[in-house]
Amino acid sequence: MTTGIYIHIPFCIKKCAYCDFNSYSDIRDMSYSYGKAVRAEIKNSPYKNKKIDTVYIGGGTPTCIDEKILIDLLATVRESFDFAEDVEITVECNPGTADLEKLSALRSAGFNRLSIGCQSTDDKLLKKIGRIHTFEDFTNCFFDARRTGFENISVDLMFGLPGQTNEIWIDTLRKVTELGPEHISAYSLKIEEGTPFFDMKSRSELSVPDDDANREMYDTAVEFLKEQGYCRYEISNFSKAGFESCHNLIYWTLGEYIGFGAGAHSFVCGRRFSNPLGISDYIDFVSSGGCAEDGAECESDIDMMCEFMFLGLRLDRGVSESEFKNRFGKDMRDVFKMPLEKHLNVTRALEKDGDNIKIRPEYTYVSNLIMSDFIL
Amino acid sequence: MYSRDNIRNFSIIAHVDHGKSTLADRLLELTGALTQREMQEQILDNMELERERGITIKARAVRLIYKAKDGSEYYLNLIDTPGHVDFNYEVSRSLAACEGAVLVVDAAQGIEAQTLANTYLAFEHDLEIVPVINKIDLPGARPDEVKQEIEDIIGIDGENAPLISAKNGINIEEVLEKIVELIPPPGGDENAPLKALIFDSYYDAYKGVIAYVRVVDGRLRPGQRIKMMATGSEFDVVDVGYLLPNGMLSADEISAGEVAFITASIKSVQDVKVGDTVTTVSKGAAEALPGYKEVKSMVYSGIYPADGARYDDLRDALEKLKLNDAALNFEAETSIALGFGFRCGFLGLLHMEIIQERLEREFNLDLVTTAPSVEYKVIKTDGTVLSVDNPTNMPEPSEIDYMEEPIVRAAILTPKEYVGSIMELCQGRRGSYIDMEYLDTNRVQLNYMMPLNEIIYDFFDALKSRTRGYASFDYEFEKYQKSDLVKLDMLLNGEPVDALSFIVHKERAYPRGRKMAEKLKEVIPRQLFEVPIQAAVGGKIIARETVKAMRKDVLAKCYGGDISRKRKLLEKQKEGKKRMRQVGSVEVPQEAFMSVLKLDE
Repeated sequence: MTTGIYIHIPFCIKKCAYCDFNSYSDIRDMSYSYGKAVRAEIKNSPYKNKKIDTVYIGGGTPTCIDEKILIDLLATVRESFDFAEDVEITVECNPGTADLEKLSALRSAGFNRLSIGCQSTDDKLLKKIGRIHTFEDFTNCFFDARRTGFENISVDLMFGLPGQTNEIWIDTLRKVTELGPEHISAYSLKIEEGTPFFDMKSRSELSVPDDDANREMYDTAVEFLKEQGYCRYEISNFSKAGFESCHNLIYWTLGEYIGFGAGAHSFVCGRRFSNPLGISDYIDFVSSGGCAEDGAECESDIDMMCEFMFLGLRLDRGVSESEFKNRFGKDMRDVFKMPLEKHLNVTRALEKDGDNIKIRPEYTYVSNLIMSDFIL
Repeated sequence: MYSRDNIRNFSIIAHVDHGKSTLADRLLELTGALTQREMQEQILDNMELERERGITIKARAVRLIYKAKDGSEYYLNLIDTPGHVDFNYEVSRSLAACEGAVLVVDAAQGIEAQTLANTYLAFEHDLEIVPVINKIDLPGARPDEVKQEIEDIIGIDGENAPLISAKNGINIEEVLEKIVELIPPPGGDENAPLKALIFDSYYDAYKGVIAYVRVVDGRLRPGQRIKMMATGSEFDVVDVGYLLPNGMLSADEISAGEVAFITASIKSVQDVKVGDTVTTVSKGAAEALPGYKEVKSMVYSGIYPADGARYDDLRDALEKLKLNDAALNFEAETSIALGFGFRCGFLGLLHMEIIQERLEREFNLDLVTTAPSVEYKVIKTDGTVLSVDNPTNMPEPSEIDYMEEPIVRAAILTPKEYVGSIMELCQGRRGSYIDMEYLDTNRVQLNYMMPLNEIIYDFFDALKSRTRGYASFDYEFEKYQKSDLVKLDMLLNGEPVDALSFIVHKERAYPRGRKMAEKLKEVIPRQLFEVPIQAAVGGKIIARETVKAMRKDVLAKCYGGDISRKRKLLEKQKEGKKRMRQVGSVEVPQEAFMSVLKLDE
């Protein structure tokens, strides 16, 4: 089984209007003491015997703080854990927060994959959703990254934005693919509670494309990106051959991950647990020798099997019957008899592909209707 | 021993909500039958549902002792009656046990449909009617006009009717005095062979069935062997006595004129039928009391557990209810769409609703019920006659010579300004006009012959909404009548759904089918694929709607370690699906099967 490490950096220059992630602006001076706390947490990890396949530093905006903190964190992880030979080490980056120098330092320190939050190539839309950068900032960032030697770059894009049309979306897809990143994530905007967009929407001050228009954009992306050589390997993720995100695949294949930092989640040795959300709470928690796994119970087999299904079905390749059997000692066809029969034979939204069972591509965008049947 | 001259047997009759049960409570209170502390609001309506709905479902009886102004003590046997038309037979049997009836009329609303229906029943039994005008302290009270209505419409003296407020205890004693004064003591011959009328029964887990009787002739003691004259079953009497508000009082003997209970280790309410006559096996009566009839179901519906695993619980619950409700009939049936359930027969719509509510509340069951049906007679081409209360059992059209449907005589009382609107409604429901009577200058009684199957959907709601709640309505079965009926099938994704089929008049099939399709389109959520909804008669499609395919239902972003939130979302969705039935490839919400009831025309 593969194991990943996730490190959370809960700082941003400014929160975007749609963001409900655990991140804070205006307190970046806390980043040094925060970095110290995370290093302490890593050093005290009870899972140091694990061999690590991926490291992912996400946020927030990791690149908005002093890169030395990030480099120190990676060094601490490297000291504390064994890395696999082909370890994937990703750092998230926002245009406008990483110059050539910073990127160069990160690349030299061993980061070998960069995930850039572009979201859109339309400056008006970028402004509307509260991004601090322009399309030009993004292209500069992208070229700087190439120059410093990042050969595996992922670009995050969003569709279903307020005022976005399918034409604007196609333009974004074209401009980004022309740059030739190895990986593209294309997410539909979701209005989450507690965000400025949510409040605007409840006051009817925000209108986003309806489900039909949203679906059109999704279908457009799948088709367009395929033509450009990007395969959809997960609902919202596309890559050139061999450049799937190893780290994110861990989540979808029920692999192990160890989370460090504020609000970070872990799933290790069959147990799920998470750290305190707030930065001060987290620092206090680490300094008092707190242990997030205390009291966490082992997840039941049945819960694990459900997760195996609904996470695995996110992947284009679907879920493997033999892998299920190896992992749980039971036949998938017995455990999920009803939903499998229903969707393989009656609705025919699932199909058999060798050893795997997968969602037919035309049902990917309504997959909740299928996955919810796999909750036992 | 008290004298038979000091016994008064009476009922209280009224339209629903006119204050029958409240008055009963006050009578109990005033006669000291219960202390204030023991007093539970509306003691006679002791089912939770009865109290909530303000209706009496089962008849009950109680003995009160009242010291009248003439100085004598009187034994007043109050026999409570259900107010609703569905329970007409029970009302009729209760009235047969009395010499008089207190007629309660609301001082604001005046005489309503059930007031009249119950009063006519009382007349049929030659009862002395004691009119009482209730709620006189309410703002809209118009006691003088109501007195006049009583004289004009019912034709009895309303001038001396006590003006009371049962709620606030005003003038209750006057009611008691009138009962003593106007209602005659019971007759009967104590030395004649025993004849006791069963007007109610109740199942007790320890004593078995308790029969509530009015002894008409003769006497009865424990140890004697009795016979139910209609069913022929025989039992040894264990106990006899009187019904007090706070329990039963055993007696050595009961005799002519008295209202009493009998227990005899009887296991099934089926053996103690309301209306039957009890006599002794030795030296018994030769002839039963008049008027016994089998109670027949008028309305049928399929009842299914929402969760198929609770089929056995549903059967147990129905059996328990049946112990106390001989009018409830059920038998197992299977539906392709709904699985295993029961076909249930009810006295009427209210009875059906009450049973469904009791199953849900008292037995904690989630139910799916199908559209109610009446019992049709199918005369086949080979001459055989079939009774069909479930559309699924309707033969192929080629096998049918003709069909008959039940017709009721409906009486609608309404302020005159709504007459046009009601006539329109009744005609739309295939009613045929009989006549119209002016009850007074403002109020009218409309009489119609109507097919029962036009009433059981939403007639009452439609009537109420057209008359802003002012009309009242009553009906009784009249006859079976030849009619041009067809089976209307609803198809989802090309497959007929048995639980959605119904039998309807040919001319009404198209509008009903169209409404049904529209309604189903509203209630069936979008699915993985497009779902055509069709209404068909005999293989011919008469209406079509489409539920478009779902376009977007996805967790777009799912990375980062917190999958519990995603999981909760899916769990919630799964929970929602529990309210769904998988019908072929289509998920149908359970409400859909009942939505036919509210087609709002």
